[in-house]
Amino acid sequence: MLPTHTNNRKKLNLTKQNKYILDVRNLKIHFKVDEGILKAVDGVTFRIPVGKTLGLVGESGCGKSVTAYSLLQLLPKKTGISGQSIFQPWTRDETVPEAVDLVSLPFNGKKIRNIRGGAISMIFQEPMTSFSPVHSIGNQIIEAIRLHRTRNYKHAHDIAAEMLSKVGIPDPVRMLNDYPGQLSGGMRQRAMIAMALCCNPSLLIADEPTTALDVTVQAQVLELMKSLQEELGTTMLFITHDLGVIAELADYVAVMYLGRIVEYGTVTDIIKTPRHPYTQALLKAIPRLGKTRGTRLESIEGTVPIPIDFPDMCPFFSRCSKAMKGTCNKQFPPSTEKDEHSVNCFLYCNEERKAQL
Amino acid sequence: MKKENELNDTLIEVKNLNKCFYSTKGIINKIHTEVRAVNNVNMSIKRGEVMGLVGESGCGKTTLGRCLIRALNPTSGDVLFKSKENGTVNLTKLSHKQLLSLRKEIQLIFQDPYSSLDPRMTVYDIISEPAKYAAGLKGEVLKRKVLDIAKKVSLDIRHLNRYPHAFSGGQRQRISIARALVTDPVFVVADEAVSALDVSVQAQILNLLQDLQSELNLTYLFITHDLSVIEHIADRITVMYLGQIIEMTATEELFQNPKHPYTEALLSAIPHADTEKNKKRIILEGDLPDPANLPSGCPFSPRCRYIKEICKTKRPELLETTPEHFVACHLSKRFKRRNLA
Repeated sequence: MLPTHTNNRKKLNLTKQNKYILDVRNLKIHFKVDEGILKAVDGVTFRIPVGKTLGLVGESGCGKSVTAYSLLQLLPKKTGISGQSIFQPWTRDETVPEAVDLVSLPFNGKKIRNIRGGAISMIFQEPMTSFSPVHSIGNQIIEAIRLHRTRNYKHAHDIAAEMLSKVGIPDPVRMLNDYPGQLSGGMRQRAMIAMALCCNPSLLIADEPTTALDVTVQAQVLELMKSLQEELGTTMLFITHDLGVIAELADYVAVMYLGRIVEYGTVTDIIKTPRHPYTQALLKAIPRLGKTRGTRLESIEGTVPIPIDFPDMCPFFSRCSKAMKGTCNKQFPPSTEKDEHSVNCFLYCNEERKAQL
Repeated sequence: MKKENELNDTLIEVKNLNKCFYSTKGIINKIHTEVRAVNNVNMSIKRGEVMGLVGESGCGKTTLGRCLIRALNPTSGDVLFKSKENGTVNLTKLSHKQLLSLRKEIQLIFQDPYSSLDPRMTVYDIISEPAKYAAGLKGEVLKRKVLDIAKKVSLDIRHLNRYPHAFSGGQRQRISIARALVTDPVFVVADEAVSALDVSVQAQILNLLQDLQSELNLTYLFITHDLSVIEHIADRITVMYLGQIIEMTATEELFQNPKHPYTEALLSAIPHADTEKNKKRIILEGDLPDPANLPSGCPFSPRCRYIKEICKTKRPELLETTPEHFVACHLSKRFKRRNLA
């Protein structure tokens, strides 16, 4: 057996604890469509500390998956991306690899191909469609290992088998020869997780990894991801629309709406004391066990606007119950920060700042 | 709202319903396999109530829903339906023609609002089609009916001659609901009606379904895999596992006092948005067994934490352990819920 993954979280170098593994600054992703410019992501800024999990929540179409894809340069060629995503790879030993700006890398260059699947790996949303149906599970995992860790096929085979047993797959050696179609959804998602973790990534991007799964299987997968993170010390960017899942797994939460992050804070802050009207409304709109029965849910009126040629204003303006005409529809609200809890809303801008604007 | 006598009035009664699917593998050495998607189901739904049907994917909840309205022909069993016009009828024994006259009383709301609307029909045509053919409305009456129902589900009537692609997911689900309700049905099967929607829109549709229910005095069979949604909307809940009903009782009772080990695990698996609830999870081992190759005895026995010898050999019956609380488990009397709080 191989001497891998023996370090645990407690042994992490504390001097590195304060560092941020990913620092995204003013990221903008624009698509040209027939009707104009679609601003899928419009000025997103966030940071993820080493070893922590950032949950990115939002409704469909808010730009959370596009943000994740841009980190690995997986977007179509003609997409307009600007801003910076500084990625600081993290290693267990003392050597500090050079930080890279992921946005500036050419999408087919050697550098990004080294990072893709190696230092940053990704778990895709649908375990049913993200594996190639004509290659065995083993082939697909071993390919990643041979690209990033070792050229030796036997060695790679052993790593793959070990990783599969780590994610709780019985009889991993046999599973390597199986094709994705032979596995159930939960098993396939486990194999996906194994594939993502096989190259010891510094950063793991999980794009709705449990959305397509049943509750009981979802519980298994979440539990597995939690324990693996503790064991390997991986940093995670966890994308989901389910606030319940976020509450279970994330340390920090960024709430996205229409291509913007409207609120950012620790998971307790966001769930217990949400400040942005959108987060507040979102939390009220979910049916909660033992709390909402027999009552009407407080729904958010209207739908998410289409972000084509969207003016510079608060994106939530049209649906907000506390919207202030003349203020909120004039420009995007600046961020107000209080103990790591920042919110982009004019309700929290103090008077003098409002006067300045 | 609900009158006492209405609540005691059974609208649909299902007796020993079975649905098998057959598949054949191979050309020369043919292997026939039989999958029992619905296995000996007995249930009744009262007039004016919301019956929730939960279970994991592949447990047969959609098949059961479709058998009830005879979108699928059950293999055996009876579905007794109290029709407004025809008295009590057995849906499984009706011919196609006889069924047609009943179609307007029973309707279905489909799961996916993106694929269940014909992209080549305008919204007006989509909504009016069942009114035309099942309810036999014509001319002015038809038009008034369609506009009326469109208003009820908060669709903008100026948009009725647009095509479905011009609408968002929530709006499309409103169209689906309008299409189902245009014939004035008594019984509506809502098959994962809110699962494909975003949370903020999901709340709108849930509220709409609840409003329409009290306004039009509807009875729902609400099929979903989302337990918090079902807790919000259902009066009674049926839990299915591998084609069988394993527990059936009132909503409060089920959530406070689940008696089947599977229900217990299912409830503990729900992720909570309230972080203080750092409860201990019951993690079920493994996946659903292959429904073509059911375990002998209790279908849940391979994953059950409380398994006893009897579970491996004898299939438990659905029994009323306490009034109105049905459980199919050999240990239901001795089974004590682990403290989850």
